[in-house]
Amino acid sequence: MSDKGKAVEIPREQQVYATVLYWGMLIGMGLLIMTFILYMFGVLKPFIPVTELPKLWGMKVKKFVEVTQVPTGWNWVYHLDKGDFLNYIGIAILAGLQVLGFIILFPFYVAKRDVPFSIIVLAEIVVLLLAITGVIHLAE
Amino acid sequence: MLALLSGTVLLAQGTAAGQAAAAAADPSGSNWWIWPLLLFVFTVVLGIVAVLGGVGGGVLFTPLVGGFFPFHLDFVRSAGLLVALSGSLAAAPGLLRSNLASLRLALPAALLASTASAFGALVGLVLPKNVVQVLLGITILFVAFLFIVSKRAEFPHVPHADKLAQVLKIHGIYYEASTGQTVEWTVWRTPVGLILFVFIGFIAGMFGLGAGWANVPVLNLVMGAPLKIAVGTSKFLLSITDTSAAWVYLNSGACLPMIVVPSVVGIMLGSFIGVKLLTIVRPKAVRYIVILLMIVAGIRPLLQGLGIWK
Repeated sequence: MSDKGKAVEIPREQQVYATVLYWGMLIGMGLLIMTFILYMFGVLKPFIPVTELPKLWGMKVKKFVEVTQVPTGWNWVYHLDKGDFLNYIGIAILAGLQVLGFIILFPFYVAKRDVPFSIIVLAEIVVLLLAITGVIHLAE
Repeated sequence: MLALLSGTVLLAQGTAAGQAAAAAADPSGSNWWIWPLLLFVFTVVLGIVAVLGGVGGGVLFTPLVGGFFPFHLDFVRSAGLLVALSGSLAAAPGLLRSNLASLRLALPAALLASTASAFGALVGLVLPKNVVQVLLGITILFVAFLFIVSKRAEFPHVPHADKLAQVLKIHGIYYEASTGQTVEWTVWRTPVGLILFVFIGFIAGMFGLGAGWANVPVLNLVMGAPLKIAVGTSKFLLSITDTSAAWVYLNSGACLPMIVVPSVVGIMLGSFIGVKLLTIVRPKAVRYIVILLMIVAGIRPLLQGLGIWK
């Protein structure tokens, strides 16, 4: 199983994908910290006043949404002037990074004529997009 | 470290009743910052313990924060997924560049696990809180049991790659620093391994857990990947498995930045400190602490769900 002579070659697509994750992680985490500082210092008025949170964070999400009328799905993008929803930018980048990675990976496998992995990556993009866009969601 | 954890436990004893009492005693809500601050301190300690104990922070985060903090499990599970996902994203580039995480091994498993985790998240959001608590408690106690009894094989014997592994070309090579040699590997029993990833994904999504505790044994013991490849690929795989479930929680409104951000930053900071402490701490002692924490983390939601320990 072991061989002293063989060189470890990292596939090109794996390197590119790693670079995308590295920069995406840095940007997402940086934004998350910066927007949270703005939120904590009250630079932007939040959608839910922070003093109200202790009465709300013990509720089941369905009741929480009913009581607070917070936007669900992607409607938070219309409230980026609110301190709490501004944090969603960093969260969305971190949680959406993998789909960007897969979109970048896909042409590599197609170019290699690697049919099984082209199908797997394409299917993964579809699954993640269904989750991200909210198509997979709780029925009312 | 233990003193801080015990302090948090004691403080949280009054969580359910204390929440109502605190709200009544402090109608202005001026003390709102205490819990996020405590959460940050707690997750820093958790991050340190998790690294030293060789477990992902996600598996301890959800049951402990869900059990001892006043936040509803819906918000905790969402935060737990983002904690596991962020930790995984931070480690993934290095693992992929050193070939310790293999795309060819991870992607087929990720497709099944991430699909299942989205449906696990939906089920988790629909089930009553006490049912989720009981199931979470049982799952964590099972994880603790696995942690105690499971053996790991550094270089498992793989007689031959199975048909599916051959078709998907699941094999690779990495540099083993301890021996100064390159190691070539492949896997077998791929269909069984992939079926197990459906269950792993479902449980991860349902309970908002990282899934390293299950990924590593399946990749290493069932499929025969070398331990380093199994650990590296598992760590990377988490970020894909948890993505789809995290979005189900996000889109349903179960994401409170006041819980998510201190948790993510706290665990990251703790992991960073933990890595620095790795050389000076006795791993066996930390292992016992992690086992103890897992047992507490399992018993607490189980008894809460059964209405015995509110």
